[in-house]
This record gives sequence, C-alpha cells and structure tokens, in this order.
Amino acid sequence: MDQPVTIRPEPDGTLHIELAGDIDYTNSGAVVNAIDAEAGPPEPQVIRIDLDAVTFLDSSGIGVLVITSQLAVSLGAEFKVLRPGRNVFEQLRLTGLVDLFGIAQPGAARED
Amino acid sequence: MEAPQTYLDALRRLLAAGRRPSDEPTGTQLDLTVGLLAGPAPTSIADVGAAIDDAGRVQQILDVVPGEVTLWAPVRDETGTVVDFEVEAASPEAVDILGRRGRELIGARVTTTYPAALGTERWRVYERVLATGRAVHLPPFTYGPQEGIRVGAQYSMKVHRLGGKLMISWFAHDEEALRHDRLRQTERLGNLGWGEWDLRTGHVEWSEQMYAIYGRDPADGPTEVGARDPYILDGDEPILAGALEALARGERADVTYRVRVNGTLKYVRTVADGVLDTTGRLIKIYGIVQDVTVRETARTRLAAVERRLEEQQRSLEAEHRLASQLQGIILPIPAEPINLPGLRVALRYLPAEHLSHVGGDWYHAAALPDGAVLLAVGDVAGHGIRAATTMAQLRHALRALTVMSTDPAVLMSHLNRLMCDLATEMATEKATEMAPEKAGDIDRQVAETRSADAPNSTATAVIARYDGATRSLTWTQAGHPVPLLTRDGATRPLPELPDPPGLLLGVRPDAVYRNATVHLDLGDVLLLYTDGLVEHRRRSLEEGLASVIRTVDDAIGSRPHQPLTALLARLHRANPEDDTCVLAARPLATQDQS
Repeated sequence: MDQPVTIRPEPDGTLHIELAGDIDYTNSGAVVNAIDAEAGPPEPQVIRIDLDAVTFLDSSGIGVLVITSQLAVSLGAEFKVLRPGRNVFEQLRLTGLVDLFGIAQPGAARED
Repeated sequence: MEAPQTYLDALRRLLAAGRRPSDEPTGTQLDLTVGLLAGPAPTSIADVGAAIDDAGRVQQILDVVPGEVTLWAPVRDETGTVVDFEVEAASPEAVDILGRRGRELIGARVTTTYPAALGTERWRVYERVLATGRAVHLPPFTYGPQEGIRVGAQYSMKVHRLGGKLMISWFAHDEEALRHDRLRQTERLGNLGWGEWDLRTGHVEWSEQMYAIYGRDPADGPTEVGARDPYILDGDEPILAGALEALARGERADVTYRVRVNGTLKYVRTVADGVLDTTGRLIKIYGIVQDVTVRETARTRLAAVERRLEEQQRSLEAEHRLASQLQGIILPIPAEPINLPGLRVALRYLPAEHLSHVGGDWYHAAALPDGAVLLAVGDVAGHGIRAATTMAQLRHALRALTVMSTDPAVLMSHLNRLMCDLATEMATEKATEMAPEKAGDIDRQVAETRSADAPNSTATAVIARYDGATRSLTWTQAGHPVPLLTRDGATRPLPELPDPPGLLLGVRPDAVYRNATVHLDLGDVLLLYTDGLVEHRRRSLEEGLASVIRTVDDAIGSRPHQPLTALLARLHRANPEDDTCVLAARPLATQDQS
C-alpha cells in the first residue's frame, strides 16, 4: 500500500502534505508524528493538506486534520484543506469542519 | 505407506529379484522339471522319450512351472534336416512377440513367429543340443529389431534336450535390471531403506538406501542386530523397545524415532513385521525404514506455531474479558428498557470486533430535577484506555453540569470547553514527553508503537432534553450524526439544526452550538446513535444511513408497537472496527408509566 502521508516543503514557504488511502487508528499517530517532524524550523507560512487520494477517515483520521490545524495556529501559519472526495467531504461536513477549514464542495473549481 | 504390508511384500519380492539377477529360479525349476519328467528313477532314454511323447503330460507339468518355458518338437524335411520347431507345451508365463501366452502358443511354428531365427547362431545351438543331448546355457544376447522384439531387450536362454525334443527357457535380463533400477529410484525418492534381521544367525541385510539413511559405507556392512539402534537418541530408546515388544507379540511395529547420524539429527520411521517360530520366539524382522526428517521438522515447527497461536488466543481472551469488565464498570448498559418521566428508553452497545478497541462511545439517559429527561449519546475519537477515560470524564461532567443548566446547547458549549482543556493538557503532556525523546529515537518509537492513534482529544455528541408534559424535544449536536425519528412507519433524520453546524468537540473553545425543537407524537421512535452504526470504509455515510433506515422501517412496519429492545436487536453495526451505541426512545402517555 502507498505511504499514508507524503510531505514536501515548497520554496514559497508552504508545507504541502498529501494524505492517501485510509487514515485511521492504525496510522494516524505515525502521520501526525511525520507532520510534526517536518514542520520546521524554518516554520512554514502555509500548511496545505491535499485529501485527493484519501479513501476514508475515521475519528482519529479526522483528528489528524484537527491536530494539524492547531499546529498551524501555533506556528502562525495559514491552514488549507484541499480536494476531499465526496465521502470524506460528507464526514467533514458532519463534524462541522467544512466551515471551520473553509473547504470547498467537491466538484467546485479546484485550487491546485 | 498406508498399506505397508502390500508394499513390504512387493518390495521384498522386487529386491529378491533385483539382488540376484544371475540366480535364475526358472533355471533351477527347469532342471527340476527335467528330473520330474524323467521320473524318480530314469532307467533309459526310451522311458524319458515315452514321457516326452505324451505332450499332454508335459503341459500339465509346465502349467505349474514359473518363468518362460516351452517344449519344442523338431519339424524335419524328407532328408531329416530340422527345418522348424513346433511348440508342443508352454508354461503360463511363456509369451511370444505376437502376445500369445501359455497354452495359446501350442502349435506355433518358430519360423513363423521368428522368421529370422533360421540359420542364426542360436539355430545351430538348437541343432547341436538336439544332436548331442548336452544342455546349453546361452549367455545374454540381444534380439535384433528385425525379430520384432523391443530393441535392446536382453535375454539369456537355456536349451535342454528331452527325448527327441527341446525344452527351452528364457530370462529377460534387462527386465530384472530395470526393476532393480526402479526399485532403487523408489527407495531414493521416498528416502526408503529396507532391512532384514535374522535374530538366530545375527545376519543383517540392508538395501542401498539404508546405508544412505544411516550414512554408512556399504563396504562396512550394516550395523549389528541387537535390541538397540546404535544411532538412536537416548530419549527415544523406549520407542524402539516398545516396537520390539510389539514384534515379539506378533504385531506390526510402526514407530518414528530420532537418530543422530554423523552429528545430524534425523527422524526415521520404521514399519516392521516379525517372524515368530513355533514356540513364539521372534526369529526374524523385516522392516522398511524411511527418513522422515523433513516432514517431522515441518510438523514440529507447525506444532510450535500452533502452540504460540493458542497462547496468543488465550491472552487475547483475557484482554477481552478485562476490556468488557472495564466497559461494564464505566458504562453499564441496562439490558431492559428504562422508564423515565414520559419516555421509555432502551439501549444497545455493540462492542468493536477488534478486542483491543475499548470504545469511547457513551450514553446518558436520566431524569432532570425539573421533571424533564436528558438524553445524550457521544463518541470520543480513538480507542483504548485514553478514549475510555475521556468518555468517562465527559459523561460525569454532563451529569454535574445539569445542576447549572438543562439547555442542550449550553451543556454542549461546556463540554466543548472541557474537551479543549483536555486537548491543551494533552499537548502539554506530549511536549514534556517529547523533551527527553530528543536524546534518542528509541523512546519515540516505543511511544509510537504503544499508540498508533493520533494523540487527539476530539469527540462528538448529541444532547437532547425531552419534556414529557409538552412532548417537545430540544436537541443539539456537535459533529455527530443527526438523530433519526420514526413516525407513521417512516424513518428520517430530524431536520437539520440552524447554522452554524455544531463543530466537533475539542477543536475551538469558542465554537457555537444552537438548539432545535421538535414535537414528538405517541408512537414515534427516536434513535440516537454513534457513527459506528452507519460509517463504513467503503460505503458512503448516506448508504450506511439508508441501510439503517430500511432496517428500522421494516421492523416497525411488520410490528408497529414492538418492544424497543427487539427493534435494537435488529440493528448491526456497519463498521466492525468501531464500537457502536444506540439509544431508542418512545414517548409514553403521561399517566402510562408501565
């Protein structure tokens, strides 16, 4: 199976994070640790999480997003969540995170 | 190997044949036959001739002779020259190239069957034996292809004169050699050795593979016969002793024991039969020995794995017992419905299939001091003791908070702040934990393996207040599935709350929660549940919800007033990895408290 997380610091100060597959209780701890380890210094200005390849988030997978958003707040970085699939979007809507993270509806113009 | 006797017999026969290719039993038989035909005291050639002339008598004797034996009568031309032979009698095993066998050969002409035979060296031998009466043993020769015999087939032949006729027998040499080779091959492939022990003479005979199994040079001969196998491991001696006792009782022995050969441990299986004399004394043992090391080693390894699995299973069961006991202490689930003011409530908890997942699901159902009822269902993110601890904190906090307020949205805000405080505590704990970890990665790895969950302290919940006097239900939710309401046989989610949608607990301390109110009718069924009921890895929440709605509709449609526990029993969790808590409530007429 693919790595659940790929992290790439970009030259413009963005920490680009791609999650893939099922993010759940079996790997969410490792994903958070990996993100922690890459979050500087130097601190990123933007933390961007791409959910395009995510197939499922359980409650601890949602926790990864919450923890990363709190990390962004503590670093003074902007936090963006991109491209959730329909089911993932539905989960985020249910938890009220769609509004909090300002996530666009799937199918809406993509911000790549 | 399952029919060792048959195999043993076959092997013994083959070995006997293969071991002594030059010792032709049929040759001896032939000599015996000649003696028999000549009578107990042959006095003259004429007597023999008379006997031989009686072809019927010869055939009767050949009928019981093993091997390929035929009696040929010479056919002469007018000058007295032998121009052919006619078969007058044949043993049952005698066969010609046309496939005729035994008595079918009688009357056959040699030159018809083997046209090329006339004039060959062998033909001259026939003539010489006929003339001189001196038996000739032809060394192995090969039939040529023109004679219609399998190319390369080797035969030897004995030619006797009997009266004025020839008694001829054949031995197919390569058949025996071939059998011998096949046997050796079988022995090698099966790691099989064959041995014979004569207990009276002390004579021991081993097959080639036996030497290979015991790593002995055939030049050194087999080991001496005795009560013990000199290679056997001390601990396994009783097995062999037991086998010898079985043989002495006239039973077959089938034992597997360990031997040490040139420093290597081997497992050998021995299947043996004994021969007893008339006094019941064991005098001979025949046995097949098979090297079963590979099989035994695999079996031993398998047994070890099975043992480990069993131990693991036992410890898992213990863990499961502990987890269920813990669950029972933190969150006792009443087996029977409970009657609260104006409302009957039933509960069902479906534990996760994965035993280590002590759930973070909880419920609350209690009468409030003002005569209303407070219902709640919640789910703490993650699994294990940490989730269970948070769950207990939330539950107790909710009960305590109802002293100050019974408004669901207010209560939810308090729970949210509590969760945010817990998140801060957890982050601080993590920071202090992290500090020494800088020294070494091992601690960090240990910490990671101990909990694969993200150290996250979010939770979801739905809280509702039911006033039995007005039958109104005021509710709010935080990141939680919307409750279902069944009315007039149709189940649907409660209308959504006014914005903002209730945010997951523990994310933002300033999150705002709002109430909605719905009127309940008698006969309505309200379902509060956690996401384990509808959430599935490969299905959308909508599909999961549709399936639950179908189940409830079917149940209520078939029996509108069925007990709540029966209704709950029909629900199954969608996600076997997650625990699930379901609360069903039905309004009671205020005077109807039964």
